[in-house]
Amino acid sequence: MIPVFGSVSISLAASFSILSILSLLFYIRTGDYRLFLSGRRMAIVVSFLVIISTFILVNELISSNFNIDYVAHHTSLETPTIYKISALWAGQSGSLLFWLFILSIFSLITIHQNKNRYHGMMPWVLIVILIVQLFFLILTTFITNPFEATKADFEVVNGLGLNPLLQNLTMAIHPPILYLGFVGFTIPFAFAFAALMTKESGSLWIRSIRRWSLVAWLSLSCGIILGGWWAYQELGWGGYWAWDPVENASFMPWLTGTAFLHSIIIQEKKNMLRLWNMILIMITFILTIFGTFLTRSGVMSSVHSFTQSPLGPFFLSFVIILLFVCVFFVVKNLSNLKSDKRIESLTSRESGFLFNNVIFVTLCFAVFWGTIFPVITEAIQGTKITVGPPFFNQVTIPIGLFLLFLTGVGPLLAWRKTSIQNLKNNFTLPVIISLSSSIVFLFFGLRGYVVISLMLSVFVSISISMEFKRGIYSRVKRFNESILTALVTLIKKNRSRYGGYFVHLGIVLMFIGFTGQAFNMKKEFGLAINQQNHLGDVNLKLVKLWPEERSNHFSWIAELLVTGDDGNIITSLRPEKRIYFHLDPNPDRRQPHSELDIHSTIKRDIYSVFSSIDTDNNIAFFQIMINPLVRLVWYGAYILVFGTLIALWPSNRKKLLLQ
Amino acid sequence: MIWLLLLFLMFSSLFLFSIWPLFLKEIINDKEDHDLLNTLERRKSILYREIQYLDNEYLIKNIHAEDYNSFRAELLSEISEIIDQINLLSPKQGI
Repeated sequence: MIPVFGSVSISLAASFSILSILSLLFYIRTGDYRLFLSGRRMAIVVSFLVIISTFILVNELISSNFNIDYVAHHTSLETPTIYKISALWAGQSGSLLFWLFILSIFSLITIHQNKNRYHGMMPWVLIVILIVQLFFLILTTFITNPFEATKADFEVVNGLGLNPLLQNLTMAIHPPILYLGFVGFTIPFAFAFAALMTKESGSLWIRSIRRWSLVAWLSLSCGIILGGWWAYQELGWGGYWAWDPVENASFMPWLTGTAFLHSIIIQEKKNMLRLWNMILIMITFILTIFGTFLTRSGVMSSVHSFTQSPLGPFFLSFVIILLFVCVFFVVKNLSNLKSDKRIESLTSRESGFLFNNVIFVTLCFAVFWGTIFPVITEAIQGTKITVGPPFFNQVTIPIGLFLLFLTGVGPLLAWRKTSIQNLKNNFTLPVIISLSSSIVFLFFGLRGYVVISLMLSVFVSISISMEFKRGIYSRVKRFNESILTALVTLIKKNRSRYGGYFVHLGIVLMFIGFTGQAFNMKKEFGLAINQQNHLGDVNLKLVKLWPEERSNHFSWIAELLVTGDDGNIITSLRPEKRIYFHLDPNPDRRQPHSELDIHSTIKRDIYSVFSSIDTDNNIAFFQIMINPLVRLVWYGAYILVFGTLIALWPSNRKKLLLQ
Repeated sequence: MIWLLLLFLMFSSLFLFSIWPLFLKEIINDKEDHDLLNTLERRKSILYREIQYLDNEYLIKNIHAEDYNSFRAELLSEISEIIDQINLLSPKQGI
């Protein structure tokens, strides 16, 4: 009975969303405020029903109700409870319901936050959110219903279980965080569209969505990083980014979202770039839907699977409709979106921001092109031409480095125009230090992009440090504060600016980490007990090899003793070769999985993968990699999160105004 | 049977909750003027922050004295225009 309740809830939510949209549209036409109140209440009911149906599905997953097809396909009696919950987003229909769940929570927050604000824009904001909800409700009601009964003429006593690769804590939290980012951009988009429809193109809507955009961006960043972390820890190929279409699907809205976060500063401060910002947030939102289309339709594995997938055409149609509607209304309101101010000088912070935006969008286009190229070639020529990491690296590395350069230049430029004297004062030290550092790098035998990347990292770090130094010393001089107090007050007084600098420092660290990839080493070999092999200055000896039976898998465990060239013990690694569903009588259901082990330091990671085992001769085969500076990528990510949280933290505006 | 009853009760109460405002007497929406006032207040606070920001830029010698004075004067003049508009709107709303 309860699953029926869930199914009825989402169907009713779809009906309520249609009623709510109609009610709000009639309010816009007639001005009868009762219609708005009723429409808003219906929007609350839609969210409430979605939340209820999500909880029902989670309950069914936990209680292993295999009468529901989704539960039987993604869990089994052996699945640990945490992964039973995470199975909600492991499959297609569940993840669509989960998407709706997050959007519904965001919708409720938006309604609550703006109960007494933005009365002109709110009907349109709600209409946009409701249309997106309706789209997903139609999918979950008619196309891929998560409450569909199991199609079996016998009693299902156990489910298929969750994919072993997904039975990882990072993977349990990575999708929800990524979804928070994807779904989060719906709210800024809704406000942007509302501003367009109500001809409110000033900075009001920008202020209303700044925090939403930051939260969505932070979630998307964390989701991408966690995905990279999971791939690095779990997939066993030694990297964290493979330019896979699914990864690109999250990276593209991140790029335009980052551009948007920068350019709204200009609109807020100078009331410029109105049209550009409108276009950016629309592209960002459409890219989130397009990303879902890429990952859900199966179009990327083969163009033919597109026709087989029930979701692909729906997502594609939605993307096309969104594009058409956005272009139509932007063109219609073009005169209202033009700014009366112009950028006065090329050496101004405004131009820096604009350059940065152009580069972000160019980078997004390059990634977009590389991602959809196989689909285009297959559609035109009938043969799929895939562009892999070499294409992406060749195109994105120079663009990325130019962006890094702009990250350093931005803080050194003044608003409106920077005088020649200021340019000299601000640029001399960072340029001298970064050029000197490049000479040192060249002296140590580094070449090409590695030198450029490290040199630019130094340049950006110095330029940001100078900003902090100038701010701190001016406070120390003026208010006689200690350095620490001056630093804290400086950040507190302008959280978004200095939080942003922390984010930039995090990005610098990540770039240094990426640069470390140029020195990666890899070797594959087999070892019997007490045999050893080496990679670089590291020796690996197999000291122990034993089987172990566990609750949901069988495992071969190897113990590798890792020593340096000098014979000193570095660490002991225990990679495993696991067989999931090993008790299943059907051998096709048994899933092998390599559980790797990593010894990680700031300098390098020693990465061990237990590839296979020859049980007759007791020989284990390993893939060993040495990946320098990977830790800096994760440290950079921590700083990025820290910086964004500083920027997000609410400031005491009244107190600031009094000061 | 009890489930069906519960379902019916819940959904009918949600429906009633949604349409309830339609049975109220006509409500006059005077909130849009507040929106304009809010916009002006927000713009004013942005400009105040801009002045604070500009002062800081000047303090850390990121901007010339001549530019600083002219930018500051522009910001102050914009603020005074906004305050005039707010004053015009406020008595109308009895604030």
